[in-house]
Amino acid sequence: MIVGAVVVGFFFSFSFCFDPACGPQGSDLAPAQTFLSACVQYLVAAVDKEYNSEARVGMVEALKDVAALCYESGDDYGTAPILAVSDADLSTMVACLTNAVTKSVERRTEVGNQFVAAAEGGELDQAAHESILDALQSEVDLAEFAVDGLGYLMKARGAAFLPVFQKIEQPVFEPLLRAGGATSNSLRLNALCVFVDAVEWCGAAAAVYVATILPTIASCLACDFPDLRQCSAYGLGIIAQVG
Amino acid sequence: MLLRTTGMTTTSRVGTLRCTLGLGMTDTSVTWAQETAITALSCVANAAGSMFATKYATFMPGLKTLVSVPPTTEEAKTLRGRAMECFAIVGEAAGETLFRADAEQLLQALLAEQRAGQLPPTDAQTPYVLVVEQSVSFSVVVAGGQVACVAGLFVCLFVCLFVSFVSSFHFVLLSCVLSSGQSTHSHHVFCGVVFFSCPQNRCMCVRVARSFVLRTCSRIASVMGEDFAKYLPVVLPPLLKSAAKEPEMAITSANDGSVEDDDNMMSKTYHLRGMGELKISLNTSAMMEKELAVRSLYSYANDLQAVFLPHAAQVAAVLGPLTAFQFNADIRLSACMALPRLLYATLHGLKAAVRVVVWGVGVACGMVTHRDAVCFHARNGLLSDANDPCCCVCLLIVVDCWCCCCWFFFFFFLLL
Repeated sequence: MIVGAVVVGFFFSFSFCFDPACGPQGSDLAPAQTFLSACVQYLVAAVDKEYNSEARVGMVEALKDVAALCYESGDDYGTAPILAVSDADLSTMVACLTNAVTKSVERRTEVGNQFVAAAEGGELDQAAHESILDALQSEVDLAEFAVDGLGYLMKARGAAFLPVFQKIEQPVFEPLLRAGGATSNSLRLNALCVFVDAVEWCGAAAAVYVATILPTIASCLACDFPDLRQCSAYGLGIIAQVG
Repeated sequence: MLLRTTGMTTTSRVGTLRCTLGLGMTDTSVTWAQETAITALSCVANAAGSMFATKYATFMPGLKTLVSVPPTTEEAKTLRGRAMECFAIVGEAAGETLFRADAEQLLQALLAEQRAGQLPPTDAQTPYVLVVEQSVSFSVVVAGGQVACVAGLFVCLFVCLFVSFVSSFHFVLLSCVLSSGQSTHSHHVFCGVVFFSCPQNRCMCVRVARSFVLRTCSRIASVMGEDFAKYLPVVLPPLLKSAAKEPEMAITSANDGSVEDDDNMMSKTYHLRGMGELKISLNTSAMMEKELAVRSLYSYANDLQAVFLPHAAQVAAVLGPLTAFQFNADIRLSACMALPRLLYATLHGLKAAVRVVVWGVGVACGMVTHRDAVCFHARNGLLSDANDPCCCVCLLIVVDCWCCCCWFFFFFFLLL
């Protein structure tokens, strides 16, 4: 009888393995988990120290790729992610990406000031103009990668991400919802993406942010910047779903 | 840009170029003209992309001729390097279907060339400088670099074959494949979980020294994808060595003549407060080699994906510290971009390894058949070549090993 029970239990315990909706999980992926932590530490340190603008954008993109990999790690079987950043690494990554956006905003302001000064001084030739545009585009790319990375982290963690969002992201991105100036559209887009993601993925408690983003959505639904229009329309749909 | 704009223009221009470049490539009297023609051909192939496939058969024989002849003069060495890179660019443009056989042929020929010692280690043109051969009977890499013992595997193999003899169809297939001589080829199997022995039971470590060859191999890897994995044990060691090499630099007094400028060492003099005039010298050639090595490592990790698993830890150990390499931003960037690719290789390679265990248990329980296992892995892209009987058989061997282990523990506990 005992042998029979063992055999039945043995068969039963492995029966899940061949269910297409269920995938293998467990401690066998521990090396990947360890490597993930090392990757995060290397990349965060690299982004924080990097002074070369092109390299900085690539590094932020790499950090976003790591976040995307974690989020998509369970997708083969439609299950929850099987590779997850630790709480400490999560805070580090979010702080790093948010900080990258903050510094990017500062650099954009600086580049904008240079642009105005050069234009007023009559020193704005074609080469200088292109150089400034390249610099701005680089900052736009960086912020996009950072926001995408934050989005993946949020999706992977779900409602548990909300405290991190409130502590680190909200203070930086909330003022950007009302950003002005030459680069306001892309910054507002970044901020709106972050808040819409929070409302969509961080559970019922994040519904409080509906009131925060609604005025921005209302004003951007008819703006000239198509990406912002699209994001506003998407955000409106999410708000309707959340109720 | 014009070439990309219209297909007709591209086709006709390529057709016109065929005669000109073809003449340039085969006119051996003027090497520099040949070099220029080859470079132009690379540009055309790169711009034409997949539309160049129709011209593949026209240009490839000439390129193969150039690549296959070991050069004797300095000019010929550069020419061969350019031809090799062009060979890969043309193949990349034409696509995997056309290029695979020629790429394999080139790689095998170069390896054979080295093995035969035709190219001396110090020859400046030598693409592969050193061959170290070791006799390895059977090496198995399981789940991220754990090397299983040879004897243990053989025991598992025989026992599992015995256990599954009654119910499985692949025993006969295995016998056929092994007796047909296919087992003498090198086979990477099953997403990097298991690697069989190299040809003639030998494992080679080849030092790759020239940038042309590095770029060529990277491009061939991007075309061949997972099938390039069997060459990684040959290609990676020299790359790792180059990537890990410390930068050669010297800080001396401006009047000190101990560090002479030459083609490799570049110097610049700075005036530092309290320290006077200082000359900072850097070996830029070594730096470029390092940069190329790191970029190649990124490229391999990106192209080979899960089959890169057995090498991921080793490569990460070298690239991790390079994310903070202070002398070169490109090296830092390439190292950073490689890390997510290595993580991908680790994650998906390990997931594949877990699947083998699970399928082995499933076979032992009689819940699935070997055919199910092959179909599942083929459907999910986990077999390097689902049409290759060797790959399928090797997969089943691994599944059966786990099946055997499962039965062993089952009876063991039953007896207890």
